[in-house]
This record gives sequence, C-alpha cells and structure tokens, in this order.
Amino acid sequence: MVVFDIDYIHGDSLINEEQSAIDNKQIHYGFKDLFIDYPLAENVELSTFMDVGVYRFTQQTKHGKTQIMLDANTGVQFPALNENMAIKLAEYYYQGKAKIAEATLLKDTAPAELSSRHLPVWRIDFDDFAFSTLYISSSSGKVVTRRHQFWRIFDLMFTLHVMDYEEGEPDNSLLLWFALFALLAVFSGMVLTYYRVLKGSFSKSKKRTAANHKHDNNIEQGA
Amino acid sequence: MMKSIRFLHKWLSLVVAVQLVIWLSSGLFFNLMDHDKASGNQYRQRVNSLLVIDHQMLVEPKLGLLDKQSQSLKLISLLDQPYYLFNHQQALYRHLPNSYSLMNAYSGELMVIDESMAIDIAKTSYKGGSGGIDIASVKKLSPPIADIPKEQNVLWQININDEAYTSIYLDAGSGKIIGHVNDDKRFADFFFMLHFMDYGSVGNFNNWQIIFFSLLMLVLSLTGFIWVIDLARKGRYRVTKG
Repeated sequence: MVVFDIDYIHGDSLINEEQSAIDNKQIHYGFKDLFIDYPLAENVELSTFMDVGVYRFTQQTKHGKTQIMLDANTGVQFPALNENMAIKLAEYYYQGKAKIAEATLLKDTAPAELSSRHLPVWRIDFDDFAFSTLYISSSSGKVVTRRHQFWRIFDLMFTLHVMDYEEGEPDNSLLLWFALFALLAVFSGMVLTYYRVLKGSFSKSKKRTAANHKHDNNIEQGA
Repeated sequence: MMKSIRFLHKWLSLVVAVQLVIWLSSGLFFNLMDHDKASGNQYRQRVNSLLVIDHQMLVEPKLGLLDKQSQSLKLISLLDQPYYLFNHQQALYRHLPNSYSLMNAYSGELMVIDESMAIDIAKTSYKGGSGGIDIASVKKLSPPIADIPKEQNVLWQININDEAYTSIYLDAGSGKIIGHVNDDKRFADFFFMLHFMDYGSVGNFNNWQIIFFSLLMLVLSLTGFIWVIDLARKGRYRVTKG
C-alpha cells in the first residue's frame, strides 16, 4: 500500500484537468432569467460542458433532488445524456489513449464503488492496462467518480488491513483482539531478542557457560 | 539455510521491534478511539443559509471586470448575502491550489474576505459556549499549515478560547469553511503521523522510511513463518511437557 502513490491510486492521472474558460459572448441567458424560470433552483453554477457554456443546478421536487443542466446561451434544458454523448464526453475527459470497451447506463442500482446518489450514471469502461472506468452523471455530464484496478485492489487491501469484513471501518472487535495478541507476541519477541541477540552477541566470548548455552538452544528450538 | 533464516530473523527483530510496537499500538488506538471526538467537530454546526435569492435585485456577473478568465462561477451565500464565486484555476480537488474572486450578486462589487468577515463566517459554524464565542486570535496562514497538512491554499485560522482549543479554518479566497480542528483531533492526527511514519507531515504514507520498514517487517514475518514450519516439522511444538 505504501509503495503506490496515493494520488495515482485515486485515479488523479486518469482525468484531464484542463477545463475551458467561460466565454462571456456565448452567454445570453442570465442568472436573473434562470431564477424567473426556476425559482427553486439551488447551487447554481455556470461552467462549461465540452466548451459550451452551461448552467447546472439542483431543484427540489417530489421525487427528491434533481440535477438540471441548461444551455447558457438559450436557456434550453439539456436532455439526459445519450450513449453517443456519454462516449464523446468520456473521451474528452480521459487522459489515456485506450479505446472504450463498454458503455452502460446505470439507472437503479449502483455498484459498491459508486454512491447511489449519483444515479443515473453512464459507466464507461476503457480497454487499458488498468481497466479504468469513468462514471459520468447523465444529468449533469460531470465525471462523478473514477476507478481502476489498482484502486480496487487498494480497497481490498485496506479491508484486510483493518480486518473489517462487514463495514470497512477500523473499529471492530476482531481487529482489537488480533492487535492485542500481536502486541503480546511482539513484547515476548522483544524479550527473546534481548536475551538471544543483544546479550548473546555482546557477551558471547566472555561469560558464556555451558549451561547458558544449553538454555539458549532450548529457546531457539522453541522447547 | 535455516541458520541464515534464523540469523536474519533475530537481527531484523532488533531493528523493527520499536516500529512494530508503534504500528500496533497506534492501530489499537484507532480501533478504540472515539471517532466523533477525533473528527474535531465537537462544536461544529451546519451553516444553514435561509437566503432566498431575490432575482429582482440580482446583478448579472461581470466576467469582464476580472482580469483573469473563469472556469466556473457559482452563486453562493456568505453571511446571508449572495455572492458570485469565480474560480479562475479549478483544481481536481478543493485542497489543491485554486484561485477565486468573489462578487456581491446584489451590488456587483468585488470583495475580499478580510479579518472581520472571516470571524463572522467562522462564528456561523460554531455552536459551543453558552456565553457566546470567545475568539483568542485570528491569523491568515499560507501552506504548509500544521493542522491541515494537505491544504495548499491560503486559509484564515480563527482560534477559539474553549477547553478543546478549537481552531476554525476557512478558505481565504472562497470563504468556505474547511474544517474545525481541536485537541482531540490533533491527538488522533499525531497517532496517524506515527502510524504512517509521516515525520515530514505531508499527510500521506508515501515515504521512503515506511517502505523500508515495511519491507524489513515483511522479511521478518516470512523468516519467522519459515522458522515456525521448520520447528513444527521437527516436532518441537508439543503440548505435553518435553
């Protein structure tokens, strides 16, 4: 775990960080217009969607919070991302050179590595060395998360590390007992080290009696 | 062969022993600690903005007023006033270097978060103290910041005079509350530093000393494992008195 750069593990290098700047000339639909059309809009953000100026915001509806994306030039709402757009977008964000292996729309159930609040989401799998996956929200067009095989392995190793086979938190009693026994083993090992290595090597030629020798051999052989 | 394995095991035990105790005892601490306390959020509260945008008063953001291009702009509220938060350099994560401007969305004026505003924002996130909030000191800090090693932006630090020594951090550019840190959290963070051997306090475990010690540890346990098998094969593990 410590050898792999944690930023690499988190897939930071998978994503193209460069984002295009908002072009003022493209924007003919203002914040004022938006609040007239959508008085309940929250978390309004003006940014870009593949070089086009867009507004993204959430709105509370009967079915919970929904994400809405509008064209900042016309105020027209974007439809949910279709497969072609999702693939185009994934290629736009993806840093590598590999081709896309599969694009799947996840509507109702999210895999363990994706929080279900992001649904519906396009899962885009790349045909690269690390089996990279980008998850793109079909309503906001944003990359909500990303995974590759090394991150998945890392997650598994962390589960083993904290010995939690239920929730993934380091506060379970299995770990507690193993840690306590391990500490006991280490302290008894340190006692052995003290007698066998430290005392043994530095006073070897001087005061070692035959009886002492026999005692050491017994320890060494675990009797 | 067995002789050199025993030799390796014995001498490695000497080198690794202390670190092993640190790893195990800090691990035990994480297992037993109170996770709510260690979060540092004893006195933190959600900043509830009851602000309803009055679109009649809204001034459109003037992108041209700024000398830098913007990648995104958000309508946020600070102290019940709406602001446009321009992000000129949007990093992958918030804690990586970002560059912001703030513009009052009702007046169109550009604004920089000064000390008194930082204090007022910090207060909204603090729920402790019956007799109000007692501020010990306020500082503007550039990274590296001891309490938040990963942070790479300039922060306001508002130190509160409470029994937990709470410090409230907020981003000097955006006014966003980064977090509360108190002595419970500092105590837990100290154990994380030990567990990760992160003596340079960079906030992660990718350092050469931990790689070196974990390799030694791996060899120690492998040699020990072989030794155990060797002893068992020779019938040295007996329950009855030998």
